[in-house]
Amino acid sequence: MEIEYKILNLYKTKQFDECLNLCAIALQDKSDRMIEFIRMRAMTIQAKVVGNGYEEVEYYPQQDDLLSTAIAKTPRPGTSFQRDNKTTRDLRTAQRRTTATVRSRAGTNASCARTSRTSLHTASQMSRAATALVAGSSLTAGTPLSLRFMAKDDKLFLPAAKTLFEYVYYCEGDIRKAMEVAFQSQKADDTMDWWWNFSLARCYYALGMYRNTEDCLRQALKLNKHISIYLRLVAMYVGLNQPISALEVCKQGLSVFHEYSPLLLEQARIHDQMGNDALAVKEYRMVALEDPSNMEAIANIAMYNFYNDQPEIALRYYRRLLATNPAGPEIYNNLGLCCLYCNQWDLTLPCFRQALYFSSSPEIRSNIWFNLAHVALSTGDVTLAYRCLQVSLATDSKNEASQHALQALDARLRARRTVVK
Amino acid sequence: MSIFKFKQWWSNDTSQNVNQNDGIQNANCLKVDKFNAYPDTDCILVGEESLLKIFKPNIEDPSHVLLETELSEVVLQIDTGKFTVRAEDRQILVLHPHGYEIFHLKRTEGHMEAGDQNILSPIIKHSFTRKADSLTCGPFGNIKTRDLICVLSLDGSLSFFDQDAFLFMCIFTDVIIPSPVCYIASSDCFVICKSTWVLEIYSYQQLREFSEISIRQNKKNVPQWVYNSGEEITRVQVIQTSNNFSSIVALGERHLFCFQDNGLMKYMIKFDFVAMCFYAYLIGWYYEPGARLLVMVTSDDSKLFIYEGTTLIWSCSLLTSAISISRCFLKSLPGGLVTLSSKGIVSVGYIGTEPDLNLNTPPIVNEVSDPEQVQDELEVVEESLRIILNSEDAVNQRSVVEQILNVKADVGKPIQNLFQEFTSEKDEALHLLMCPVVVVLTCEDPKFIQNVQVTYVCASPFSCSEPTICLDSINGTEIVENQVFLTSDADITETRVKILITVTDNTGKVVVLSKKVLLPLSVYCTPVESYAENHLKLRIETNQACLDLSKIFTDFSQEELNKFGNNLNFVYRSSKKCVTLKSDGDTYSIECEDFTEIIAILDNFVIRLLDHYNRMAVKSFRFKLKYDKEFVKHLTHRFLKSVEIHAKERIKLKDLEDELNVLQKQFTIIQKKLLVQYGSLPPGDCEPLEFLMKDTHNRVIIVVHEIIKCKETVCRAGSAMTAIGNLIVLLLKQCPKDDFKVTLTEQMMCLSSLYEHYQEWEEAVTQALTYVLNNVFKNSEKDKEKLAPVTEQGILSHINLKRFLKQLRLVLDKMFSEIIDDDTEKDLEKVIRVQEFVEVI
Repeated sequence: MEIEYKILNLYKTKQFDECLNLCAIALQDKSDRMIEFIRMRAMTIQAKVVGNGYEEVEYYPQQDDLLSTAIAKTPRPGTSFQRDNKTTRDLRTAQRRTTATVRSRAGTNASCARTSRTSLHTASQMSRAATALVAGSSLTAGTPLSLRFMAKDDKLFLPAAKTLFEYVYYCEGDIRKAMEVAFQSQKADDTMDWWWNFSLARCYYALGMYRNTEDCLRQALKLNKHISIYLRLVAMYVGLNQPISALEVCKQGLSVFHEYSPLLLEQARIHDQMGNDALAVKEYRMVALEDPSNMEAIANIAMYNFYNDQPEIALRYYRRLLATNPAGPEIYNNLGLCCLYCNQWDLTLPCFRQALYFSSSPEIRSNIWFNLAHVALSTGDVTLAYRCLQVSLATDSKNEASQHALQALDARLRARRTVVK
Repeated sequence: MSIFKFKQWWSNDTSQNVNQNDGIQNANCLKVDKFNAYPDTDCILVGEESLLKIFKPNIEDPSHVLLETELSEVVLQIDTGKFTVRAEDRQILVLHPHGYEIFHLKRTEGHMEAGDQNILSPIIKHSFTRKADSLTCGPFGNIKTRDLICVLSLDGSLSFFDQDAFLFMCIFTDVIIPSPVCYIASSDCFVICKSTWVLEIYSYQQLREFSEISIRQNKKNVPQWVYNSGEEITRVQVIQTSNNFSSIVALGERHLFCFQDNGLMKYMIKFDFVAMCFYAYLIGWYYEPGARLLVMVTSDDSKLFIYEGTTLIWSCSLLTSAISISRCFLKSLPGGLVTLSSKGIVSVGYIGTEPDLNLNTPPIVNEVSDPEQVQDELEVVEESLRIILNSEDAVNQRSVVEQILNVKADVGKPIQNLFQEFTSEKDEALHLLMCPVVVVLTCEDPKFIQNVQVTYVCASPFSCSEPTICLDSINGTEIVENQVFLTSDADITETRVKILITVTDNTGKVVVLSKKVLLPLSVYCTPVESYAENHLKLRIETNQACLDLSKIFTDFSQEELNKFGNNLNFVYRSSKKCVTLKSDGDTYSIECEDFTEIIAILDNFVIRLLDHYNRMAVKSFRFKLKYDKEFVKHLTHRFLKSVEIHAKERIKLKDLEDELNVLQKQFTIIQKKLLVQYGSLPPGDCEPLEFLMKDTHNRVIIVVHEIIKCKETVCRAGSAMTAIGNLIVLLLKQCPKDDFKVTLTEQMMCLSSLYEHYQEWEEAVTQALTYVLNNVFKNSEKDKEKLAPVTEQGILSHINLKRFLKQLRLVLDKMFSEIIDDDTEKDLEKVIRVQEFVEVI
């Protein structure tokens, strides 16, 4: 079998590592445009997977600049994620402890809900894709250099432009150069192509130029109602802290794609972040109906039920998650808490033990120990609770909930001692 | 993601070659169809390299391979159809790189038990020159009698064939990597995917005309409709969904598109996994109204998802990853699933409904434990914890470490560093005189100590070559040498170097030991002859007769000092200021121009004096600093002045830093605008922006230089302030009337917090100052209100600074007045006593 057919087979069946190896061999003794492009594509796709290039929704922290983007500095109440948090530190201690408990659990739950995304969604920067690829062994000496040899008046420039753009953008991580490719091909092509607008928006977004991003995306949307454009627009508005606009985009998108789960999910996330729990859970339920394997939706519904004083129902959801997903510390932690509130004492501690067994990051460990302290308190074992909190703080000294709880517990113990005396 | 699993029913796994090369298996080489020879069951056709295999899967009969034949060339694709006129049976079409072959599957009844014989009889063989990639076939042009063949070659051209005759060819220039081509029977159109990531739909008629036009003139051929998918299309399938319409299902990198053949988009699905292949099928018949179009998609992590529209209706995990998937209707398994893996393994199975509930749950770690035993263990742990955490133990620990680790610290003679003599011109060799400070660590039991860290703390104008030294293990004796030198021309505030030794013992406990070493006077002073009139005088009364000064200052040789007799003049190497030391009877006196200069010499002198008498074993030695009210008044005034200067300089520095901040932001914005200008089409006018950028850059540089200068000034002001502050503390300490208050004042002023770079000293002191004033010195309510810092303004604001200075003055005045009052009271008492005495006489 000729090597080009092998390469094509591997490329079409998405075995990119083997494909790149064969490409390297094939390109050693002759230059073949098709193989070169296949190689470029394979590298791009790998880089895209590593760098979350397929994830349209990435919430970057908002950059502070004196940029020309029109961001309202003082948003009207209810239009911003940054809700005023006016809890002062001089609350009564007992009160403080309970709130701390609740908040911490919310934290662990949320991290659980996000795990389905985090696997693909670890703080990604545009350039990371390129570095990740360099770190991998897939890059053999010398990257394909077709870009240098291709004049922009070549008749193959237009068909190749999109491949080249993605290669430059993801593999080389050179946004400026990618934009150059985009501009040139837009000039060469007289028809309007939404994809170029969309890609330029990605570039502008990476450069932090939100106003241009918005323009480009809006133009692209006029040309083609593609789901990615809606998702990007939503992500951009969320990044700009304009949830109302984001919701508006969601609504528009949903009028085109009825009951479409990625859009619903975005909408639910926004509502969740804005504190509209009831609305959010309604949307999560819709997502779960559309896509029953969606972990995030189920986890959020479970969390809602848990805080709605229905731990039994939450327990069922969590058990379903456990059955369908790889086990993790968050699921066991939440299961443990549900067991505690359902009075299934025999299962509570084993669940937490399992959670500790799976936990790897100190934050999660610390939270689990905090919850264990809660368990100890509910059995009346103050000393054990005290120890648990100390372990929690030892694993992660920044755990505020544990700090407050320990302080409160300490005050209470001291008060008790003085009474005894 | 699912609790369900694909149930395997049959597989050719065992008959498969073990060592397979990568890339042999083509995804197009799987076809399921029914032949007249076996009317009751589907046959599965698989091509692998040049092998063609036909399976008739069953589990009862071991002879599931109908045929296995080695063809002359590599198999690229297998398809079935009726390719010749008047064909009765489905024929098998095999595509090779340079041609195609059409076969007919025949079955002859076998004699005896040998079973049936299957023969592939060749019907047509045709070859061409362009290398083929894939094909599509069907009744092009609505010919009812036979199927025509369309071959896509690697360069993107389409060749059309009728039986063994070449019809025409279309050449497309915008194909780099061949993408799938598919025929839509209901509208007689072709779906062609391009490298521009666009789906184009041409009618057969159009393509035929296009082939002729392209030879004659360069006329553009407009497709029936296009869809810009924005990603590479990897697979296309056309399926008839109603009497008039077909659906086109196309799989991109992350999206699945579904269109009606008139270009109407039905839906689009976004996956969050890498889709490998898909298969669309109908439940029901297309001519019935209730037919449902389902699409099954396999992912790269071998999961199977079945969608109806955008709704996920089923998912399960396949056992192996599949590169191609199809449905089959076998005699004993109606509605099976056929998958082809990249290793050429074909498996037939069904979607099971027996859930495996704890599929990926590892068994829970839950060994049964005896609660009482656990309680006992807990108590033991608690007990040991209590012992370790006991505070009294920490003191013991410290002494243990002190016993084991012997620390000696000493200074050597200052050495002129000639090596770097010509490097800097401005600070003419300030830093060239280096004084070695040596720490000798002797450890008796090396096993007891994990590691040791030695830290040198030098006050501002001094600096040392290596502030922190870590020793991972101590074996016997370790000698650590460090050079201390002057770095700037600020006032000298502290003449001792503090050495901190942090010891981690084998249990992980940390103990800190500290040592202080006096720097020799010669590092920062030189004796001179010139004598100037100084108006500030500080007397030191002792109860012993004055010593020869040259005996005290042993850094300098006796001859050197003897020249000057009882009046010694020292000049600071850093600030070039002069201090005079006199001895007369039992009183020494220090005279100088400014308060900042006293402390270094005084400190050094006092320490040496005490040291001297210690060596002489004179235990009764006492000394007293004598100064008058005027002196104190000036001192306080000067101190407040220095604080004010320090604060002013800091304000200046802050303004500069703010300016730099603004300039930096401005610079970034201009750069960004410029980038947009460069990139825009056509390139805009960049000159004004470039000018702005250069100008801003220059201003940034200027401001940075100013900041550096200002920082030095702040540090110098800080040194002066610290020097005077230290003097005040020293004077206060001489009169130990109220130890508590003195310590409090010293701690409050936290002069040691000013080191290296400027710190926010004023902010730090304000808090303590207000507290001390209100609680210890019992400020009146009125004063409290008057002097409380204004909260809405920064500490460095004009009004707050004023109040701060006032508060500071109050505290100092109170402290000094207590001391001086004390003295005068005693004098008065004496006088009264004397009078009484007189009266008695």
